[in-house]
Amino acid sequence: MANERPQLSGNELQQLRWLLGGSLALVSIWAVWYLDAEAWPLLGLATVATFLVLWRPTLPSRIPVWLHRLAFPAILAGFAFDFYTFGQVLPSLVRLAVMLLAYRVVSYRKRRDDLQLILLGLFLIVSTGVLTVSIGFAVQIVVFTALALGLLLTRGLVDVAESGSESTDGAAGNPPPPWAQVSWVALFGRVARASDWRVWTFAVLLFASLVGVSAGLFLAIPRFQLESSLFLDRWMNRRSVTGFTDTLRFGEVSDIQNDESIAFRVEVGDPRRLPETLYWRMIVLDEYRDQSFRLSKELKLAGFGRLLTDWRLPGFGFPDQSANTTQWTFYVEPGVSRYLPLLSDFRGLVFTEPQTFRASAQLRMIELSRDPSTMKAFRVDRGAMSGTIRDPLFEHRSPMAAGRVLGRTALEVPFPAEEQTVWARAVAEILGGKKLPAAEFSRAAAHWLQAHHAYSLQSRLPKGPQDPLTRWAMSDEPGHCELFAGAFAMLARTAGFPTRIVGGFLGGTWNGDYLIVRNSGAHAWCEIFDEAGNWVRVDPTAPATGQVGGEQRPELRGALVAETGWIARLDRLRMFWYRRIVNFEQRDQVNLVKALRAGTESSSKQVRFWLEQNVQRFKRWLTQPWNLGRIASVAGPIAMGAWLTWFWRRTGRDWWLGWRASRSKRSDPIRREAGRWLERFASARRHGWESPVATAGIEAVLQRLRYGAPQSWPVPEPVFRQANRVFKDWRRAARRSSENRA
Amino acid sequence: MRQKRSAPAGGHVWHRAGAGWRAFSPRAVLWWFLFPRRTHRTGMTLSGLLLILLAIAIGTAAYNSANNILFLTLSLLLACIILSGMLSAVNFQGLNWRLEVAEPVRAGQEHPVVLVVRNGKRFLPTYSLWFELKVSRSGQSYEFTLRERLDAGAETRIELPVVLPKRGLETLELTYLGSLFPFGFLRKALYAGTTQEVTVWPAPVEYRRLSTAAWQQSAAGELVRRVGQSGDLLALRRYQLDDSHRQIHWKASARLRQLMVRQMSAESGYGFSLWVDLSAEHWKREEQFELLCSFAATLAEDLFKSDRLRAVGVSGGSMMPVRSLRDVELFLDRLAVATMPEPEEASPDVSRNEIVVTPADRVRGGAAVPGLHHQRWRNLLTFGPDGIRGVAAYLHGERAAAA
Repeated sequence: MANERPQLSGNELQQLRWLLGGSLALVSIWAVWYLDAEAWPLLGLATVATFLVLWRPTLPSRIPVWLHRLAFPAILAGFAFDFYTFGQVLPSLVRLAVMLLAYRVVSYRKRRDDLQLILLGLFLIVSTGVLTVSIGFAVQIVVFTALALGLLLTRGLVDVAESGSESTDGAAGNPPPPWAQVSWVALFGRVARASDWRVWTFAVLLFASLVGVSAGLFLAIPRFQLESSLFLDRWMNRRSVTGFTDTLRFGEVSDIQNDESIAFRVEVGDPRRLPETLYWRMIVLDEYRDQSFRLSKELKLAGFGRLLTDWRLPGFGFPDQSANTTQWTFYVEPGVSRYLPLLSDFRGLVFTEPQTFRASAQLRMIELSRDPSTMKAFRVDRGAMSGTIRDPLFEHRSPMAAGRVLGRTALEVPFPAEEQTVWARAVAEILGGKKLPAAEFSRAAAHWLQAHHAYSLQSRLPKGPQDPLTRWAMSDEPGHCELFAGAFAMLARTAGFPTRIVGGFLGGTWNGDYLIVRNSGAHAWCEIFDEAGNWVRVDPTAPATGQVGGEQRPELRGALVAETGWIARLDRLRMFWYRRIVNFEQRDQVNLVKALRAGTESSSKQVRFWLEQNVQRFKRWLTQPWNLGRIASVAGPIAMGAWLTWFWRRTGRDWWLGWRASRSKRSDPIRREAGRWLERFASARRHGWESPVATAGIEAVLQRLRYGAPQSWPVPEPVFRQANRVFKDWRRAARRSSENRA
Repeated sequence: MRQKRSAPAGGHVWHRAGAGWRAFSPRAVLWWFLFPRRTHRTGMTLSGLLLILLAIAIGTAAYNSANNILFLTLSLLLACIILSGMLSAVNFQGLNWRLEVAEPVRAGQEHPVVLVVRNGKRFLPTYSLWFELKVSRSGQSYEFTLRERLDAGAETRIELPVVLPKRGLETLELTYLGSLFPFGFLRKALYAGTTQEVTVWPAPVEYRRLSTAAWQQSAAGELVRRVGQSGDLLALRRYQLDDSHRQIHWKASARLRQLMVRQMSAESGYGFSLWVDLSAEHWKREEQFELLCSFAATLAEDLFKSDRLRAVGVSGGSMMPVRSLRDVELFLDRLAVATMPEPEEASPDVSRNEIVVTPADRVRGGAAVPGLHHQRWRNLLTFGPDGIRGVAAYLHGERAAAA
């Protein structure tokens, strides 16, 4: 065997297998860090153990046999205890998988154990990917695939190398196998010497094509809209981490504002239609009780429908053609809220996957059944942006039917009489003895508040026995948006206008072609019910300039301005992940096919146009008068080409074959050329060409060149020339014969 | 024993998996995936089964939940299957092989069969191949395993000890070449269809020389004439019929104007002739017949080694002088393919001048054997049944050896 590169021995292959298995385990374990599975100590232990056995593969042999025997029952018992104690299915399963994985890593593995390692790792990575929908999943799964394929490959090579002899995989209780004494540096050097750069290039290209094929399959796999929902979500309890529940305490919004992370991203159908400021409504709070605003039980019961599991939701309010609407696609990060951000009325809403939710057409709110643990994407068709929401249900009950259940909370000023007097004095000051409509009262009340209070995230409440809201409103202390909104609501209610607080986000920043809304944009504002039967948005906190009392409102920083820098670029990559991978659906598939068709048609048109133009140009050139110069310009290149062809066949080809022979010691180009000619003859015969007698002789000579000893060769070049002649004659004869038959 | 016929029976003909295998084109590959040849076998391994089950489970979950993460995983798994198929096809591509069986092959003895594999690819190596070798009559299977990497343009020899239990014409068939490469999902096997016929000589047996006197008395003078005979040069003598031309002493012939040959010392030794009667009249038991063939072959080889074999003959033919190793090999070839005739065929065929040697004939020294008119072959060893199972060799009517 004429191999020049060294072969990797069975021990070296085992060492490679060990390394790949450990790396695969590390990638799988680290993936769980992204998952809130409360397994940090376990993950840390597993990581340390993996590094230890990678550093010293002899360590597993020191584990006593009884420990190996106890390991599996102990892990199962641990899982049972975990599940019994915490009652969470998926986190317990994840912790079980981590424990099993760690055990597999720290023990010598046979073939089935390697497969188990891969399966456990895949379970962890896919679970994490499904639950987090993170772009990190793309990287993890690609790295995992590479490692898993490498592990399977080396496993196969090891099995073949050891077939018929005793396995050196190692076993519990036995001395360490011979390959466990490893020097990684020496191994890498050996692998480098045994490798061929062309094979590595091929492997890299092949893996890239694997990823490409995978992407193609992802786009091509037919999608059906099955009315079902993912089971993993139900097994993972997760609470909202940033707030916006149905109860809003003073200072909660300010806490959210301290968080600079992204709350959601929005693709806007037509950015030209956007107003200056966007208010993303999430939760309506109508009741003030126990120093906090909340969504009253009455309103919740009356306003929300039953729990649904569906892809779609018919619109709220059904904006007409004249309304300023566009299409919105939201990508809400996990942990923001179970209430989805919306602007106003819309024609319809579509989720990327079935969701269990309750919707309130009256409040323009959607509440998911649980706090989402993954990114939630949904599309809002013809979503309006106005700050006015029509509410006929409320109009028919309040204020005309004041005192009925639905209107009670929106008009309630739940203070003692002496405090109500304080509020009434303030309202009288605002009204100035006049009876103002809702819109004018809103302006006057907001002005009154802004005149007395500056904006600040750190508000100081004066001491006293009264409600904090009363104390703040009647002071000159600066405050944050909840205090402004709460005070405005109390003023408006005292004046007889039904008013409610709305929690959500304000503004956003452009990053390329989509909007980013950060948690720092959390905001609270009010909606006042006017005489026309609409809830009208009122933001009493500060004017749009963002400068109140010398301090800039954080939620207005960079409102609808563009983001720049590396973080913004990385976020675009994440958005691509959400748009093209996570949010890919049947409609996108259809659009893709349409785009492909349109692209093909347009490119074929371009090619046709280009051809027609060139043909016309050639015709014009041909019809021009011919002179000596033109003839020379045509004949010259033709003659040059002919000469080059002749020269190549006469001399160049020999030189080329010789040069390649001198460079390549492994395969002789003359043998290959002879092989090609033989293949050509064989192929002709397969196609039914009748074989003339002349081919037998030349084929024998070609056989000699192909397989015979070099000493017995004739001069190759004339042989190939003759083969060419014979082949051409043969082809001509075959054509004639087929024509005659026809 | 180094044999003249030790050249590989397979010659230098390279084989490859199916016609047009090297005709690598996208269309061919596509059709290969869609409609693999019937003779190709594809079996699923445990890891392959796991992969398929995993793909089904993830696919079900993906469709159930419309979760694109699962669709992504599913597409990656499917791409892995495609990649596995492609790599497997590439691994098989450009492979050539040939079987080399160095004869002689003796029944019941371990014999090396060599498979030469060549990787005709441009730069990609080939890994983890196995070749299935089937012995036609016994139905035994052997497996050649390529344990190491076979680089592009390189060839390797894989030696496999094979035991062919029965004498006769045996066909070694390289039925399949297979591989689990690259990831062990599928056990793929392509039909190789390479056959190699070998003649298996009878197995050597142990025997006893019974009558020392008979062996001694038999030295009645039978000249040896064969090519390459050994011994010292004794003299020059006149050329006789059947003398080897190589022994002619041309200078002496020219001087004396008649053909003179060298007389070697070995020529003066005394030898034996073997006559094997295969007629069914005497050999009714299969085992005894097999023993006869083995015994005769062993005796012939032993006598040849000690330069005492003069002629050999098998019923149905005539006595052949043994001048060289080739003559012994022809005799062993004849014994290898000898079959026990059916009872009705066992009657003597007078028209073919075939005379059956009866025990009485044996006593007379095989006078009825065709070709035995020549005086040099009078120390004739013949064979007959010895009891129910045994076989005896007779010399001058006496039992000289038994097996």
